[in-house]
Amino acid sequence: MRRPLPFRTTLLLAFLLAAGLCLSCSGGNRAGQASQTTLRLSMIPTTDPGKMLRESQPLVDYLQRETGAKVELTIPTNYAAVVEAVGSDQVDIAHFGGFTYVQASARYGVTPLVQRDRDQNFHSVFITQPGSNVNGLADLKGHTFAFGDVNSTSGHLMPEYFMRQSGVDADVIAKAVYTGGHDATALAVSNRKVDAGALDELVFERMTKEGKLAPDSVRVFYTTPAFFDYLWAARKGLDPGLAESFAGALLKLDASKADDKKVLDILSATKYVKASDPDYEKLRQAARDAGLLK
Amino acid sequence: MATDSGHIAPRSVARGRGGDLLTPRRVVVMLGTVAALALCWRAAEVRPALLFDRMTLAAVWNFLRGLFPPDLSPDFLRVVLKATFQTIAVALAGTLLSVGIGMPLGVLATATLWRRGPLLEGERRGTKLKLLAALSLSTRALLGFLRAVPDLMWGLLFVVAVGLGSLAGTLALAVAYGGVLGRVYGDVFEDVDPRPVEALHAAGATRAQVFLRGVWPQAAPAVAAYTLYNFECAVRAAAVLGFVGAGGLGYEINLSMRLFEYGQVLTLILAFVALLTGTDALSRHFRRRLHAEVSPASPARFLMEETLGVGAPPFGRRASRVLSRVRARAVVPLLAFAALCSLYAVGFLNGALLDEGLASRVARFVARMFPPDLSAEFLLGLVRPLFQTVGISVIGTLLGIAVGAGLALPATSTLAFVPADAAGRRSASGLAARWLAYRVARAVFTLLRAIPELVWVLVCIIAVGLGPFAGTLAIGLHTGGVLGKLYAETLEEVPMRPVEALRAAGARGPQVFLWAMWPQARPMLLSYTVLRWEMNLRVSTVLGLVGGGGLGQAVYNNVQLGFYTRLSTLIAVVYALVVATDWLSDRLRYRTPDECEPPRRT
Amino acid sequence: MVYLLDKVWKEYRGRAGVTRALDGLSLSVERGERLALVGRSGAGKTTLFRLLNATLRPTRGRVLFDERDVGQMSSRELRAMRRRVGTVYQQHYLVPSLSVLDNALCGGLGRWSLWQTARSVLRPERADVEEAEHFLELVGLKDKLRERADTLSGGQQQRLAVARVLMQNPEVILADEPVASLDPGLADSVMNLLHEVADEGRRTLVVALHNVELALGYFPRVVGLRGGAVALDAKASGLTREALAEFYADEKAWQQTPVT
Repeated sequence: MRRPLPFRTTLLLAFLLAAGLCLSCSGGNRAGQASQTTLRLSMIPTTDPGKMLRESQPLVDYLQRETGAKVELTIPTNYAAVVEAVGSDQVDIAHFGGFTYVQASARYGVTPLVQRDRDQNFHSVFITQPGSNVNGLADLKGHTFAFGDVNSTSGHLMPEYFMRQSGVDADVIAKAVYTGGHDATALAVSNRKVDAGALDELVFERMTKEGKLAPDSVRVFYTTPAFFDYLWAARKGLDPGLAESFAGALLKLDASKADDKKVLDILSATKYVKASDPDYEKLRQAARDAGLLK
Repeated sequence: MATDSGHIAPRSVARGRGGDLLTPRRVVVMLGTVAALALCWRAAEVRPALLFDRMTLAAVWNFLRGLFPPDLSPDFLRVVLKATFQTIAVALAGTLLSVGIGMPLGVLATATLWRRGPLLEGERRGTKLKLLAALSLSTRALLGFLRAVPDLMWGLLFVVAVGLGSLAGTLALAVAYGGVLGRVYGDVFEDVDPRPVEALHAAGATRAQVFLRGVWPQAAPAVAAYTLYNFECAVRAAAVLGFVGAGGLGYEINLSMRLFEYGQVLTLILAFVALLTGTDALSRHFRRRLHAEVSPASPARFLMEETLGVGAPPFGRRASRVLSRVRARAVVPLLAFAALCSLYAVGFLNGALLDEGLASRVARFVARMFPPDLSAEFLLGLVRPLFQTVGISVIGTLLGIAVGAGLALPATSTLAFVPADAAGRRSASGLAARWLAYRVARAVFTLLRAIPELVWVLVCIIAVGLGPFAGTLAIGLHTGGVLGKLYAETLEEVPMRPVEALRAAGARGPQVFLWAMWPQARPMLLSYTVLRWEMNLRVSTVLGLVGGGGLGQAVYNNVQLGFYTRLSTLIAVVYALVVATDWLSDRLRYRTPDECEPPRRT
Repeated sequence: MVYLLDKVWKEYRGRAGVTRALDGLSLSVERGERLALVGRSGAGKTTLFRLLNATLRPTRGRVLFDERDVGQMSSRELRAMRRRVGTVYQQHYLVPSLSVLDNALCGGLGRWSLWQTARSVLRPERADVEEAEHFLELVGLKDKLRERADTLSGGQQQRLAVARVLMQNPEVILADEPVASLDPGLADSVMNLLHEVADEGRRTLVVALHNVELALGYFPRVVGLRGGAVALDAKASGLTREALAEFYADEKAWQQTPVT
């Protein structure tokens, strides 16, 4: 007896185990029956995840109808957790940013499916205060700079890439802060906590439109060339038929039809196109160069 | 150092030998301290001017304005309610699991069962005993490790390993508090009266029997009381764990902050404070009864206060033993049942417990952390965040001392209110002003203390931007509340006779404080402060997870980028840092020659 | 022969260096013998007791129990031996938070399995309870079954300790100052109790005593320890109070020892 346990604890553990067995049996059965036909999706939020989840019902309904599978949608807020979830078969199809897709494909070999047409022609905007003397990337030397989340394509990877390309002082990049999100970057600049920052053009548009960002508090001084960003990708080993029907369902959405329009609006999209891995080669190289991908 | 007998404050005499104040050794130490502080100041990137910048004030004003009115729409209240329950569930489930981890590890770590003492003195020192002793020692080391890594860091690891949500939070609590509980249980088991244990051993009982009938009955009340206390801490931790994606109130606060919905933030914080107050009252109620059974001399008491430093549990002195036993017996199954429901709620029982996926996912994640990245390039890059972390904790604590000490004097009832029957004239307005100052100071402490450091970080980021300065301010504010309350309470508990004697001799308020209260309270004030610094260092390693500078930022970024081999290096660095701080803190608290006695609350 | 100690040394290593508790002590005890052990505090009585009940190993020398070397026994054999040796300690060796009945039941631990022990926490077996109650009645604690041990008076605690040993049913009973904290009347009753118990099962009885009157009055053989070795070993009939006083020379405790 190397590990004497106090009796009450033993009793408790026994009780716990028994209860656990009962519960897991019932729970296990449910999961077992459903697992063949469940399609687990995960989508990075563009706004309040709770609100998104509530408002995404038409999308879920549409996908259930089209794929014949029971669709479970989760809206995580942590990019890395999505990558790991896909890697450990917790999620079947995920909406990745370009950079997280590259990470996931390097680590877990995911398959690209579809993306919005605008994802193939995406931009980041660089903003600063109206009164500042920064008018181009070259002027950034000696200024403080903010990226968004370290894992963001449009908030970090590509802005950094273009900054390196145009020879911005390495010190600016080394000392840059990571705000953790596009909104926070915009706010940091408008509150003058940093001199300049880079963020997703869509988020910037939305924040200006919704009045979260006073139009006269920031100004765009640089817009990056186009790059590939968000896409839907399937985990390795997912039934190709299921992946196909998911991709097909999104591809055939037509903005001119009222029903389809509702679904497209949830996804902030107008049209879906096929996504392919070679499009991400440049991004991959950028990540490697910056030491962000091994 | 009994003060009962005299009206003379102990140690006030010692002040007299000021002649050798400037020995060369002291000069060197002082210069070193100043240099170290200057380094910390630089590392923490403190910019006081920024605090009074127009933009800062505007941002803070915007934030404060945004807080009102709190969002009380039914839709949002439903969200708050759900998050609150989730937090409770995570705390309960986490506590139950941590007991499950801590109990066997604690038994194994108990020196008197495996390593020394009467149980072993009659045995032949064979290989088996040596192995057991080694196992016990390594268990102790493991517990130290589990404890040293901050709960938030465990949270981040589990979020990535098992996915977002309450399960990750539960596991993080289980591991972090399993370490705390294991250590405490082990210490409690070691501290029981060894004589009954020896008697049972001499009657031919096995080690397990000795534990069951000799050790456990003596330790049970302290174990139960500490576990309850731990639950209280777990509630706070469960809420904060949401900041790294583990669900509950913290998750919602973080989200609302990010979405600039400050009205929601206020509602959530109110819910959080209500939850804390509720658990605190409940746990206090039961602990008071349990504590009637823990002997006043038991080191378990000191341990409770020392491990967490704050909120030393009040000990009821006269609660009836029989009654307390009956109640305690009812509480344990009740709590266990609630915890079981919580385990179900967080998804641990229905699936995760027997789901081979969970274990394999965690195992795979751990495997990917090895071998640790020890490349010079990476290690050199850690120097700056390391200094930042230390700087944040030091300057933050100093700020907390300033805030706390400044407000502690008006908040000390024995200073604020002159006894009604004291001789002398006093003006009604003077009394009212003192009363008001007392109330305001106490309210400020409560506010500063109730809001966790991580929420303060988010607020400070709004004010001064991302980086170590925001983290420093956050630590300073929270610490100010904690220390202020402790300072005031310590001063109130100082034996009053020397104070009265000085008052009688015609001394005025400040003189009474300097000559009667300060000398008596000094060792305890010092001890609390150093302990708090130790805790702040732990906190400052995770502030970076939400943008407060220091090592946390590196941890967060490397987790996000999937550089797990760097993660293991970072965890090792944090562990080493915490161990070093513990050591330094022990030295600071116990070394001072005229204060060899460890301070205890009376 | 129950015990044979052959030139036994015991040294403790502490921060202050090495202290020698036993210095080449030799002693033999026959089965069924009644033996009083006298000596000043620090003479090595407690250490000797711990050697006799196998909770301590000698630094050098051999301790034979029932003609077997204690130093060579495995853990299992040691436990079996300890079961055969019952120890009545001074005060405070009861589990304070357990009831009187539970404390008495603890005497049975040596013959119970872990499972039985665990079960006894909730519901001890009827036979065991009856046995324990019988012994508690014998020591006069029948009416205190449910009370916590730490609520008992010193004398009651001492008698409870005897009940625990009875429950253990050992072949040898060791008692370390069993009457040190009792008033004279109680001391006599505890001594009588020990003798009754010893008579009952032809048990060996070794009792350490401070009180010379009791030693001479109750025990046929008296062994005196000094400086960790046997300095006196004689039949009580051949001893006088004055001869015994030698052991307490220059010690005031001797004069203060209550003389009944």
